[in-house]
Amino acid sequence: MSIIELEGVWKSFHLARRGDKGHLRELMPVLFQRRHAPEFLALKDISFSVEQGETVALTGPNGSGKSTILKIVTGVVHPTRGRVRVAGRVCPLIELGAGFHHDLTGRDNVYLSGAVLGMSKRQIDRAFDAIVDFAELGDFMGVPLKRLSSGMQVRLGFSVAVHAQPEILIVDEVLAVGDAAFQSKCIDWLRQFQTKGGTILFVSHDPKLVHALSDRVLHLHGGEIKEVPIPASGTDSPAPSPDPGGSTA
Amino acid sequence: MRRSPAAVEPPASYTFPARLGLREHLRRLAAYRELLLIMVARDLKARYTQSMLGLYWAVLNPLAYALVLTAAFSVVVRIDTGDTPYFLFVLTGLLSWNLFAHAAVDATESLVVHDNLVTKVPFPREVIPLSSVLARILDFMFSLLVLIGLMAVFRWPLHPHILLVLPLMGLQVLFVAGIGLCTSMANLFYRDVRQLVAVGLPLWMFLSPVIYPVKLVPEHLQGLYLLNPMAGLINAYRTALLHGTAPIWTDLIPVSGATLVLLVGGYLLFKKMEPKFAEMV
Repeated sequence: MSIIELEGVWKSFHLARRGDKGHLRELMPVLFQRRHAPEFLALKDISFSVEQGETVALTGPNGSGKSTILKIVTGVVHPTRGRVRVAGRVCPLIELGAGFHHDLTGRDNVYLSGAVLGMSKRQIDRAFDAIVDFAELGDFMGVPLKRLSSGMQVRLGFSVAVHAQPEILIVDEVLAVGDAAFQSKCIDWLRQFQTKGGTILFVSHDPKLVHALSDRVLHLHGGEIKEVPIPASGTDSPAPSPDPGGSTA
Repeated sequence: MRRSPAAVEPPASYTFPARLGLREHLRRLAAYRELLLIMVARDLKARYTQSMLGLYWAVLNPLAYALVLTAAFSVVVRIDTGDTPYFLFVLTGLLSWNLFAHAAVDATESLVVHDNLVTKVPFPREVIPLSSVLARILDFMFSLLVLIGLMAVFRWPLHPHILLVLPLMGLQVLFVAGIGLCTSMANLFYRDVRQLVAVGLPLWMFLSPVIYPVKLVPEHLQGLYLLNPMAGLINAYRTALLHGTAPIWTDLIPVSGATLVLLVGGYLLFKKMEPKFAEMV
């Protein structure tokens, strides 16, 4: 049985209802025009499954639906139609340092972020030293988070997330941050996670990274899977084309 | 990759569509109880670190109000509060009112303030407004201690009935939690709700017996007046704190009824709308 399964998943967003219709005086037009409000079809009939231990990369231009798929697998966004089944503990590396508060110390923030990711206090207690070691921030845990550099904050966030004992990692571009040394440490960690049977679903615009990590690539375009999954780790298969939009999230 | 087993823990699977009942929602909320406590601690630490007076602000605010109101309503305009010094009278009203008003404001804004969590990380969203409400309990407790100290200064007798303040506070926390679930959700859809709460609360205060006693309300209007859930509640606090008698229990029917409706109805609606939150922030 697959660990992640999406079946005929559609997702549409009401464009007009995002942000610009945040006030009561706009309520009336919304009520009347709801049926005609512009909709954006983010995903069109997406079906795929991921086996346990597999690493699948999502590639494609901006706005092609990659992040929406990640959010649907994570469970923070529900599809408009279709079925989703995720049979394992998901840890989103979408927001590093989820719940971090800048006035609190590194230590407080480890507990906060760990709890947000579903860890109990005891689990965090036990993992605390490992988290601090991995982030290489031993001397900084009593310092308010805002005194740390943004790179340090990201390191701490990543470190908490990987110690939340996930079965499925959802990774959205976050590996682009941090210095080279920490990046390669993260990639080493992901490799280890793979060999231990962990499942990874990740979005990347970096063809080298996609090539290096993934067993399969799903290329998205306009909310549809455009190509049959191609093996990325094969000997002479071409690396997927880089993002035409050429941007990093 | 297996985790060690624990009594209740966050669900390790997710399916859509899924129809979950109230029981399952509550079970999941229970699995995140530690997150709730850690978020309460975070709110408190964040509010009071880097502030010189810290928790004293929770007391200075009602004290300043009580002093000014005492000047206004026992010196300039006289409001008859019987034997009770007006200062103690108004302070007990403010104690209860501030818990209500501050918790309601915090909860209303909570989901919008935590948009990064709402759009990125899956956990029961009610944790967010509930933690905002619970974080105001400490302020209340601290103000309560100061009030008891001031009663001693006024040589006002302390009765064992003071202990009734705790269950009353419990009821009030549930009441404002019910309101917070509804307003925090509504505020995601329409940011006017925050303004509505900010404008509505002071108006509501003047319709509640904070700065004047209920007995000054014309008798034929008192029945209507006491339908205001906060009216009976504030009365009950005052009776327990200052008069050393049990509250008039029937006064608490409106607040109990409102709590039941808001908490159960609000929670079910909240869970029904929850999947849309991430798109609405």
